[in-house]
Amino acid sequence: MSDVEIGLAGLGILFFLIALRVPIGFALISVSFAGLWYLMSWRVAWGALAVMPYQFAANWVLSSVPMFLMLGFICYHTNLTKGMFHAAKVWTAALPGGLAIAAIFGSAGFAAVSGSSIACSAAMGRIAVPEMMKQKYDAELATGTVAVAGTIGALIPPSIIMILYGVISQQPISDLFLGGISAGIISGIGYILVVLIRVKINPSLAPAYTGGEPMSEKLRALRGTWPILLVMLGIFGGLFGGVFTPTEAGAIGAFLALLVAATQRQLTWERFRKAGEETVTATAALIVIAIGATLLTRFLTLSGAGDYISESVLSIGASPTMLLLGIVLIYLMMGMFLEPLGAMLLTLPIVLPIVGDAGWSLVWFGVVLTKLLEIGMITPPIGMNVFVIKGVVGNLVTTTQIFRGVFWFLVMDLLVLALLVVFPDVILFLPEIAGN
Amino acid sequence: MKWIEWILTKLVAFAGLVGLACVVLMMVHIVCDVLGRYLFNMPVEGTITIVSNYYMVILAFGSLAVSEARDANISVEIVSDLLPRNVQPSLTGLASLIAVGAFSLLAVRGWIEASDKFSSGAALQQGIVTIPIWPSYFAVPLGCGLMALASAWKLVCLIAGRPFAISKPDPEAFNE
Repeated sequence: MSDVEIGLAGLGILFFLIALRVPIGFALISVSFAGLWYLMSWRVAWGALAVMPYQFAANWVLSSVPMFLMLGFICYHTNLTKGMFHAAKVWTAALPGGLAIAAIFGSAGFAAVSGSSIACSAAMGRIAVPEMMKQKYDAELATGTVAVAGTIGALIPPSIIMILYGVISQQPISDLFLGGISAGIISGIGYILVVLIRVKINPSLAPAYTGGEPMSEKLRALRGTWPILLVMLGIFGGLFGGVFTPTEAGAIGAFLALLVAATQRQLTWERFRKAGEETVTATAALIVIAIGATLLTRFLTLSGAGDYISESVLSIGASPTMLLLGIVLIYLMMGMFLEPLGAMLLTLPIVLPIVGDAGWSLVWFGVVLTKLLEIGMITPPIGMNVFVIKGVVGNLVTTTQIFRGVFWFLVMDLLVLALLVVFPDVILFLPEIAGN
Repeated sequence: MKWIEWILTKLVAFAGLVGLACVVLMMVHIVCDVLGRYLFNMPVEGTITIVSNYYMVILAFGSLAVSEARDANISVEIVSDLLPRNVQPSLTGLASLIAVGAFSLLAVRGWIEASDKFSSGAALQQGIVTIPIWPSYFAVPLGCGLMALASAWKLVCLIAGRPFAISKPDPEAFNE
């Protein structure tokens, strides 16, 4: 076998093992090690094991992953986002589908303190879905909205996907974060449009709200948002004011959230312990995959399989548009079946050289990739956000109903994606302004 | 058998506590550094080295077994769910077998590496301070070793037909 063939065979075995339910990280580490051994020598493989895992983990930028996870888990367990949803609700009540729109605003707000869409969906699902059901909202609309709005969580900074992408592709996290802001806001606006249009066409989906709060109540509701606003302000003010770096922002945010939760009398030892334990498990589960992915990169590079794939893809897809379309389709399909972070870490060693050779902006690609992976969170059969909402509603709504509720939002997501792809400046203008 | 389960449960619980401590210390350390630097122009010397080479390394490797005990490792069920019921235990076995192999290798390699760093007294210079980092290298063999043991125990449980339970279940937890 030639070196390239060994590399491709390794990839084949890797995907076979993953299909057999071997955890992605374990499969990556074992296949890369065995591949390096077979391809080069025992010494090379043994040497890679000595240096790479430690060096990958001992990474200052990577330390923001557990910190941002902690921030999200603290906000989730201490109900810091309740006030946000209440305020949005009072202000959007008069609009068609007001509660659903409030849930989207709430999610966008939570997105600014949470790095993952699952935490975002879980938090808003727990608060907004019961309220919508009480107001006799259509179950599909209610659950679909929250499942979809959660995906804003990974687009609006902080974002775990973007941090890991930045570490592996060696792009500045702050540029990725800035690029994610516009993508997240446009997605949110898109979702609000979907709710407005659907309820306009079929008003029975969301009974009109008859209450109508006076201005004084509206202003009072705004005051209830201060805990989360304070945390947001602390993070973004300090970040863009140059007081601390994106890496440090996670720790500051988590600490602020703890302080705010304590003053709200929402912080108990039990909640703190839960947030911490979930941070520990989630971090370990992510890092083991990431270490495996760095070993795979080494194996693909040394075997030449990485270059081979990149060159063959570039030679077939003569036009960049076709190439991009191919990448988008592959990620959309993969997103239907794979967990997004796993899918990203697994494919970056193969995709990054292609993107680099094609001469595209890696910051732009990182944000588009995040959007693609987030669409995967809501597409059947495996849509993590949908499952999270299913967990919140229990037997009241079936998983199929939630997937059906997601459908029109998905159409909007594809439109937003097309916009981001066709006009890269939508993503890149904020990083460019900051760069100048 | 019972005593193995007992020891592993204690070790995993301890590893979980160490991980939790790393998360909390990391947060406090970074906050102190930022506040000190911004308010008093007095950063905490060596923060980057301590956070990266100690908290991150211990958290990453120390929590491997915790993650496995809580079944939080990310895998793909979509294809395997299509396979007949009676092959499902074999798939679990395959995953554990691979884990035992991979993490035993990492543990042994990590131990050799850590011993080297110990004898050379590996240290990093950050700013005006020199921080020894050789102790943190021992987190790799310890964490991977515990992970290999936990996976081996999972395999034994599977063969002996007993439940694999070395961590308290938390029904409210959700995983990334």
